[in-house]
Amino acid sequence: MDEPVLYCTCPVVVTRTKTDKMWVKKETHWWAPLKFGGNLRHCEPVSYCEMRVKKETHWWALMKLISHTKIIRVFIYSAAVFLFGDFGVAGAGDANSHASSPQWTSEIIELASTLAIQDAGRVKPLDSYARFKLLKLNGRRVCYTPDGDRRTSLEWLLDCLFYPELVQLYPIFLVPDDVVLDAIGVTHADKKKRDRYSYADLYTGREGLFRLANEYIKIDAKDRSSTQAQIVHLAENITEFEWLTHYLDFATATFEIVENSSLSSSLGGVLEISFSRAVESADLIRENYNALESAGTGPDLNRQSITKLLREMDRVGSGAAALALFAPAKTGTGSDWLTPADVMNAAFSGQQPPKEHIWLLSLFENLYGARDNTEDFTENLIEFHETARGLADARGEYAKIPLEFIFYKGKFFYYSLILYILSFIFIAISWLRPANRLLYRLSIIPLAGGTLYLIAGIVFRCVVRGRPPVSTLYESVLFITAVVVLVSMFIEFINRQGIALSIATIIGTLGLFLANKYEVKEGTDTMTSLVAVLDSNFWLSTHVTTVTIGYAAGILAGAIAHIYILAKVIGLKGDDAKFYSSVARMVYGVICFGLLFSVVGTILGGIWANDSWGRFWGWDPKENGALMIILWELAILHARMGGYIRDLGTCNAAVFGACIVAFSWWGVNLLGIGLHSYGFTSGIFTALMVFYGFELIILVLGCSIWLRQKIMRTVPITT
Amino acid sequence: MITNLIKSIFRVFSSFGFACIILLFMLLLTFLGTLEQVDYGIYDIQQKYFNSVVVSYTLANRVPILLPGGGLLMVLLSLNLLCGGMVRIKKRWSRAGILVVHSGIALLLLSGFITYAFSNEGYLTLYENQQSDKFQSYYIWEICVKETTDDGSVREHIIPGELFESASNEMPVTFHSSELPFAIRVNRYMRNSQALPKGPMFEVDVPVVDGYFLQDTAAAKEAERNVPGAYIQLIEKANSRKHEAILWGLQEYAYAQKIDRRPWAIDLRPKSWTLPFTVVLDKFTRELHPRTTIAKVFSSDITKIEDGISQRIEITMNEPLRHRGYTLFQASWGPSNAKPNDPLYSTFAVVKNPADRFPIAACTIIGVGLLIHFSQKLIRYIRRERGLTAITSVAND
Repeated sequence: MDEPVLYCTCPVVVTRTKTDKMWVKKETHWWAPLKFGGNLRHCEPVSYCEMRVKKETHWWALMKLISHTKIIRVFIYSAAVFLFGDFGVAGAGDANSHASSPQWTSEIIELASTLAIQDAGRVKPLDSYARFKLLKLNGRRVCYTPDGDRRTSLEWLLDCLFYPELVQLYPIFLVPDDVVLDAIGVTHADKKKRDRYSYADLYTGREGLFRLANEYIKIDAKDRSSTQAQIVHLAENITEFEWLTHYLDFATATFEIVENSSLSSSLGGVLEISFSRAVESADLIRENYNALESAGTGPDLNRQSITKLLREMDRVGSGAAALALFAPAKTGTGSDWLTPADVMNAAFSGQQPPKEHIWLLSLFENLYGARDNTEDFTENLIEFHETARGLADARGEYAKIPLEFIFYKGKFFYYSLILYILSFIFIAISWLRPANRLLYRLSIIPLAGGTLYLIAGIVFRCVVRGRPPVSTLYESVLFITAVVVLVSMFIEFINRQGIALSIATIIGTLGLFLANKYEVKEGTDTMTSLVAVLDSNFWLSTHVTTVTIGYAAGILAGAIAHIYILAKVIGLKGDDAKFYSSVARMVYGVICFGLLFSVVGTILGGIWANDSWGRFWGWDPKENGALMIILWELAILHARMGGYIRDLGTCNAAVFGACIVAFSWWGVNLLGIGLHSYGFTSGIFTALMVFYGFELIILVLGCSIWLRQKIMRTVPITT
Repeated sequence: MITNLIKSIFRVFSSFGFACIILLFMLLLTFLGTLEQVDYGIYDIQQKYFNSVVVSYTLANRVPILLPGGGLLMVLLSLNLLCGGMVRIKKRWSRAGILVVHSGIALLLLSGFITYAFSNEGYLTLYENQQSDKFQSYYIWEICVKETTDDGSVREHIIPGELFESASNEMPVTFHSSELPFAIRVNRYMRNSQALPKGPMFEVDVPVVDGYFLQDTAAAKEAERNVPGAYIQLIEKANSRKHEAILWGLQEYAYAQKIDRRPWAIDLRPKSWTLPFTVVLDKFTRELHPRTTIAKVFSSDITKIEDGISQRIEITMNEPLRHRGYTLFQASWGPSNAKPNDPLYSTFAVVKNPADRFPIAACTIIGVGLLIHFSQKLIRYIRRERGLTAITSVAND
């Protein structure tokens, strides 16, 4: 399908916009293929402010020159606030005045949160979009104004849209290493090596940043050095930020119509029109233009009037491409939601936009105009919400928005983590006083609570996504944690020694900590769209789930084996053979459990592969990882049956088995090869090496115990 | 004496220790074969590690080590499974599950062997509205000598790839046939090559034929990207006259030569097989997740024509067409830089594997066996632990 673009009606803008628009629409990320720095033709703060209010020019020009030290930043910020006061942004005595940061009422927040947006291939609440956008830029889900006011992700997004002049001063760009700043020529004397910077801070280095990023983007991602990768990442973040802060440029713009021109008379004699009105009148404007073209000798004034209008509209409107908030009004008109830029392009290529879209554009204009008047703003937002929701509802695409909003608001995994930590504290104290069963029992309550939260969170995700529990690397962490905790609780229910309970609290805590870290590190929506080959709920729920349970068992067996080895090292329980054989039996039992799921899961995977790729087994790294787990567990069981290893050997082997699971789960993704490399895992390497280092120590300890036992057995006891 | 020897061999082959050693070697091979995929393509890795008898591995780029190859290990594992896991194993109820599992694994190994020995694998690429009943191999090449018979039909003489792949300057390979008036000598075979025109400004150390020469190129990581080439010589039987020629995988036309007053065409081409039905690609559909380039659906609407009967079928990811022992999968599409309304092609992976459905049966058998065995173990474990807990409680009291 051809892109509806403005150039269809106006040859003046053809050459400039065509490529941009095609790329913007067709690539994975709307910003990705664009040359950094070339995407927004009006993105400089100065020109931006010129367009908005001419008075702003002073402080922006000043800021460009001197935006380095903290004192100056404070000065600039104060100056900005002072200047805004000039034109009523923060007028004294105004009921909605905000000396430091805009204030959004809870009603506004709730309404904005539950607006539906299409992003990364799916429809989601604006709240989810804001969470991951800020997480990507800032490395955390909240940010702070220069005055230290805490802004949630949605507040920040609203600030971006409605107060771009303020949000440019929020230190939201996380720069992990100041070497990046040196490279782009931004001073950072008063900052830490890893610190956050505002757009204004980085502005002086913007040009250098984009120049370098354009160079480094040509290097294959896995071959980039750490600094190069950070520069590209920062350039992406800056670009995304600029798209957001310029999104509503169209809502503030008005377009002049030359007096007495044919267009002016067609539009009823108006001399100025808003963006929404211009889009609404696109047919009229087009007809006027075509008439002039066919007449050939039309007055220059008329031609100039329309050309100027189209050029201005393109300049302002094409920047409104960041948020696809408009669901197509009719079913069967494609699955792509529209941005204001899309609506404009469609209108000028002869497709009359639905009235709801025009209405939403005008509501955006109203919202911007009412940004300092809470009552008006709320009223317009309610209207906007209802209209946008109506469009999404008509396509059946709004149903899961409230559910996802509740899921994120519920913070299931956060509370689960807190409860696991609490449980761990109880159980840790109980180690000091083993006779006291009260603490042991007390620890079960938060553990059960945490597990319920965890399961509820996983179920919520399943319902929102309409998928089985595991279809991404992130979800595998959650699921494995849940399985380990549940199996541990089952073991504890049987033998009640507190060992499995301790493991459950530790793995529960570590698992959720890891999930959180991974989410922060990736900084992208964890409910991603699945590639075609994975789009099979049957195989996801059978193969992926069973293999993941196999991983969980391998990790649990290794974890219990740690208890055995460490207890032996510190001499816990002395020579209590029953205790040790009981722990070893647990390890053995869990290995058996794991083998069952690993074998069945792996063969099911082969059957799936046979259906999708035409071969049962292709020696793909992920397949090999699963096979390695099976081979190792089989070797353990056969060695145990053959009498080659006993309890200690089984435990040592189980620790090594956990290393193999880690290789299969995370390690093969680091190789960056194979058909299963769906998870993006840059930076996981260090964590994996730390894990292997720790496991190596445990294995050395385990082997030294074995050696000691062997020596003790061979040295005759003399009296 | 012999009986004792056989017994000893049987004991070794059926022992747990032997099983452990094989499993550990397989683990090691799998690990090395995975790591090496960073630098080498899957086809080469498969040949080196998993289809081989012996693997020569260089540790830290210095120390060469010989390891048993995947093929050998599979045979040994089968023997071990048969001797130890099915014959020697104690036939008790407590081992019933294990016996079931072992029979499932045996079926899986058998399936692997049948796939290795008897399956054909290739691809079939069609543009929309094109049709074909042939699919060709990704990796296997052959030399084809075509002659026109008196009745006007074309007769093909095939030299399989494995017979001339080793040909080199030092060891050319010559092929004779009583049906051909000439012998074919392959002077040199290049697994991956480029045919280039010889310019006046440079010299080459390979023969130049008709102004062209073959440049030996490093093998591609993905073996299916290799384009082989060969220097050949036709030696007339009647008068020993020699005709030099270059065969190249991407040449548009076969090399033609008139010998014995008859025209002969010689071609280097991928091995191909004929399907018992014809496939017509009606339409290829590629759907993306909205506003992304993440593929949501790849599917091909095809018409299967067999014995004059047409049937419309959709082949999509995870839903192949299985018919008469052949399976057609949606594998890829192109051209990747196609603009809207440009014609698209769809590539189907075609597999003929008699053991296609064996793994499902094996998986069920193994799953059931493991379930039986571990359930028995679990019940025993629970009884034992419960007993211990009770004893401990009594002791504490």
